[in-house]
Amino acid sequence: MRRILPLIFLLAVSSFGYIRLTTSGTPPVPIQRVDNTGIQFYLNSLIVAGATSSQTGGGSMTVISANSNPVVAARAAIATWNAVSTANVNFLPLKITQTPNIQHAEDGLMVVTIAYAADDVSAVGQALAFTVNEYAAATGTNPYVPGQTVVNGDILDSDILLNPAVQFSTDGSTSFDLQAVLTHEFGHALSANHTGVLGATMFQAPTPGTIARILSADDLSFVNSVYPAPSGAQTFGTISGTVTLSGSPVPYALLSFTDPAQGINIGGLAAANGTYSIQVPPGSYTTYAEPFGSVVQPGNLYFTVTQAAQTTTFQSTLLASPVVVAANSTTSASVAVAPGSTNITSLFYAFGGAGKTGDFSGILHSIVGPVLIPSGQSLDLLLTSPGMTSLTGLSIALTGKGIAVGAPRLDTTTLTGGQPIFRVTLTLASLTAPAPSNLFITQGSNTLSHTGAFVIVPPTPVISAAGLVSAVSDLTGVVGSGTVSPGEYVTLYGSGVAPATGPYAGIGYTNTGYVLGYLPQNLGGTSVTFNGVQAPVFFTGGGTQVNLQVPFEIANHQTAQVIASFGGSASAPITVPVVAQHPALFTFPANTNAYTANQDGSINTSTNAAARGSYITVVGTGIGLPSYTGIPYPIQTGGPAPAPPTADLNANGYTCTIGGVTAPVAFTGWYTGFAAEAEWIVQIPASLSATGAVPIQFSTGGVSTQSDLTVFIK
Amino acid sequence: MNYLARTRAILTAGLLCAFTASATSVPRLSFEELTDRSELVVSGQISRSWADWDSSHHFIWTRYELAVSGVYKGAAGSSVVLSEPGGEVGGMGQSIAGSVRYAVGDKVVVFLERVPNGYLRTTGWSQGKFMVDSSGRVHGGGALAGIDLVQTNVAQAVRDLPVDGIATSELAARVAARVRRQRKQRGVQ
Repeated sequence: MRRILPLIFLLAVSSFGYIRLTTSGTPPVPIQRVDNTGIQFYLNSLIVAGATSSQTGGGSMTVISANSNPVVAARAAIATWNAVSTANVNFLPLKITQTPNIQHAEDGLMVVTIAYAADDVSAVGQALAFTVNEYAAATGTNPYVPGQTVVNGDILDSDILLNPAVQFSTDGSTSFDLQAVLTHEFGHALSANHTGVLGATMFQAPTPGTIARILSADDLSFVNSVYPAPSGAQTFGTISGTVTLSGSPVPYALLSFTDPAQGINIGGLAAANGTYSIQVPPGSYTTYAEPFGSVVQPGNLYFTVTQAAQTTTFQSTLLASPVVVAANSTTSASVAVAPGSTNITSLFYAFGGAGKTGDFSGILHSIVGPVLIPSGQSLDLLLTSPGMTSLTGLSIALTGKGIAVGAPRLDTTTLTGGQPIFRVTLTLASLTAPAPSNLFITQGSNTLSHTGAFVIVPPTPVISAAGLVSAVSDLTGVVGSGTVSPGEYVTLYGSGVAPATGPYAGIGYTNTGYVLGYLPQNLGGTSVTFNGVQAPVFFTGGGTQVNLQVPFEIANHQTAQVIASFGGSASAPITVPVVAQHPALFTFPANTNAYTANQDGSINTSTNAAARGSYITVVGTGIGLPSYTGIPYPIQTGGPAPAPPTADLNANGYTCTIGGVTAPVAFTGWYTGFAAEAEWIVQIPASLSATGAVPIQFSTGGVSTQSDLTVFIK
Repeated sequence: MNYLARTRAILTAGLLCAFTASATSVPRLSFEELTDRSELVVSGQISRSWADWDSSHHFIWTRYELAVSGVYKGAAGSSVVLSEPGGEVGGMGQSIAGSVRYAVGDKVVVFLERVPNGYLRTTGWSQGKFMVDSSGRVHGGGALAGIDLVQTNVAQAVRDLPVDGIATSELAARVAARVRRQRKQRGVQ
């Protein structure tokens, strides 16, 4: 055992706005991954829907809610960081390990697990989750890998532990969204510390809903700067300067840099000598320095007593003009802060109708975390604080992308003792991605800033009245809309439900897909729930369309409440009937032809017709939860369908007619290795006399596929 | 309902709504929860620190010896050792975001809980660490500013902001009052 020096300092120096984890040596140096192009994490097999733990001190409890999909959540969290194309970061496809627990921090097996052993539970304490990064504390030989040279600060191993006394979910059924938590923890694995920007993924708490699933500009700045892409990387400029008070440096001032036009909001921290130097994308930045205490305390950034004692009070101070930064150049911007401590404290807020007065809704909130406001609307922001006393000398600014703020007004309502409520009208342009904004209030010589206090999110999505249709019926217009079955491939239409140009996840299981092996539950910022269960998403686009798989978890439900979310904004729910099966065939090459493969695997067409007596494979969806006469079939929502049991190859007992003649069905089931795609294998009756385009239809239990589709017979 | 009563109800409802948000790190603890969860609440000065592995060799813990000057809850001798995960041993280091750090010479009031491996660590991560300035006033280590208790009006809310800037003796008195209340409740039960 060697003793370490007592000065343990977790703060990075002021090189960057976001805050990086460092070694605890003297001097501390930022830790950094050396495997950033191939980071292999394993998900412990304990982390499944319904996982429980007995390590809670109060008996066994559910750690992962029953309707959650933690595998998809973990993969989506990884995909979020991998999707930053301007950064050289690549998490490898997540693997599953049976390893029951974190073995040794330096074992090289990087595991996401639920804390189990006493030592692990002790380390997690009352955190929701935590990430431990093991790093080389000196340059030299890796003590665990003879002959390997390591550099001080190299991360050699990382593990993520979930608190067994916390209930996580991916379906909104508990307060703690697993995907958001894991996105945050993978950020730590990349060496990001917590940030002072409230709306950022790396802000420690509290973050409403699933917003932390989406990386903010502050998070992007971290990963772009620490792991720049080798070519075609995003270029940066630098803002540097000193924060001073009456000519003396101000240690550890918080800094904010916002380019409203680009929607960039980056936080920073000055060094002990008041200097700072921050890399930012080129742009024009509204810049201010603020003291600790409004929302962020020294302890939030893990200051020692010595460091905390160096912080001082001053008024949040805004530079008069934006700081313009060009690529690969440095702009100086020192901030001379105003003295004194603000009397604008204990701020409360509410919302009201745009331009109105006296419509105070009756609820006031204190700002303890980012507040989400849907864009594409005008509304009034109501504010009150004992330090806000008069319209004289009062200014209220909300700086962020697409925000116009009107002049302050007095509401006709007052609080106890006559304390006034002020209001400003916000006109919010429609955004396609969340953008944090900064609140800056001035009353005479007093100021208050809340960095990232309000996150402007895309407009509230609206699902069209008949907006949920079978993906097949969308093509053919034959199958009725508004009814869903478990596992079915459907299309949801509406306004604001998807990005204008969305990614395509690929249909089904593929090793080159968006999320390997499983479909994502959040694609391009879009997610959809059925009775609270996240639906896997195939495609989003046009702002109006989402292709998805209906979760199997709604089997045996009478109805499904469907909610579409985009960029942190959620639609009002619609309710649709649930049926056991809703079979339908895809069409190709024309909308009147069943999508069929001949026995030799070639596509069935008018010039490549199938022979009588041969077998054809017809592709579709909507066969529901398969029943194999008591044989278990563990199909997972969003996952590749497993091979069916050989003892029963006709799931749900389908029959088929071709040209009005009964055709023996050899197989019905979900297409092995794919999601939401079903197949039927049927033998064309040798007695069939019809040729050319011959009608084909499958039926079971009173439901049938389309009646007007054909297959080509020769 | 008169206007005053209406306003009180409004603020209460608003605050309750405000604290239902989720978090990605440490759940916020009220002062009462902090006290209740802690086995020991003591003041003193950090006299030395060192780091070692836990028994399963999973985590490095940094140990801090605190020379005790005041005991506000629980029983403590002249010194206690508190432990926080993370640190460096034998050329290897462990970095854990959010881990509480102390420095030799720090004067603090600490709320300490006993964790399953037997160590005493700061309750609620940095929420249980209060730094004592040269005038004897305490400053909260990690709780986010905001209102932890349901308030009756804004003026009251201002007075009851989280513990920050109060005298050490006042903090001690609040802890003692909470402990007495808990004992009384247990006695009733």
